[in-house]
Amino acid sequence: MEKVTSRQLKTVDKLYSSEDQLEGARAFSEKRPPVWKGK
Amino acid sequence: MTTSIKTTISGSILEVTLDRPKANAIDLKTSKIMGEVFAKFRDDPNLRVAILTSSGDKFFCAGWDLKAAADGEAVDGDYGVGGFGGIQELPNLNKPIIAAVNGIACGGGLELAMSADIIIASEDATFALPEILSGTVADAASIKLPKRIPHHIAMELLFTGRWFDVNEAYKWGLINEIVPKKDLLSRARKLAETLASGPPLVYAAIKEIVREAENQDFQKQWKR
Repeated sequence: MEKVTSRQLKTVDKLYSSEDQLEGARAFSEKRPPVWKGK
Repeated sequence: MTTSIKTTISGSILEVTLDRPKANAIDLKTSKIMGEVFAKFRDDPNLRVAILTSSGDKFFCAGWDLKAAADGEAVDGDYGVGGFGGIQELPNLNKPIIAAVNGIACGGGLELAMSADIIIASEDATFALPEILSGTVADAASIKLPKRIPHHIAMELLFTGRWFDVNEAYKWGLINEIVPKKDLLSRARKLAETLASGPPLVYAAIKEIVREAENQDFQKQWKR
């Protein structure tokens, strides 16, 4: 678990600093479908 | 103690009630308080079993507080001594914990329930891991779910974020029992009493062995 939460997995680290993650949260609060860019 | 977490003690049983209307979502502060509550439970020799439940009719726990997130709390912020929800990463927690799921358990709320040893749920409880729908990952569930229910089902639930009901959860062995809503707490208390009458040292040994086995497995996969 710690390996995941401390961002030691590359994919997780990338996700947590990605545009898509922000987009997901924004889309959720704006109640619209998210647009995924893969970055 | 703030009012978002209520605790009552009956004999050697601790009852922890999450009370954060309206969805019982957990922000960093609530998570830290829960960690402290469960650390005290762990360290108090007079307490043997804990029940985790929520107040309100609709939600057990909606997981991570997206409102707090929108106000700037980081998804990988400091959740306190026990990690998200106070249980899942609390070291040396060697006493049985029962989750009494009284409604919707989604995202971190389902992960919270999964950090208990035994899960009983009311008939109207529903579950989902909707993290993917808002562009993030259900991290604890990605570790645990494929080990607890059939792999392909777990992957589907993680990939789609879809809802499933108590009957499906029971079918996959994710929950121990389905209980009529009005009987949920009394059933949890009865179960807790049964466990509280058992040998604490054996519970401790079981929990440490299980934890150790899970960790070794994770380490092994990590080193591959």
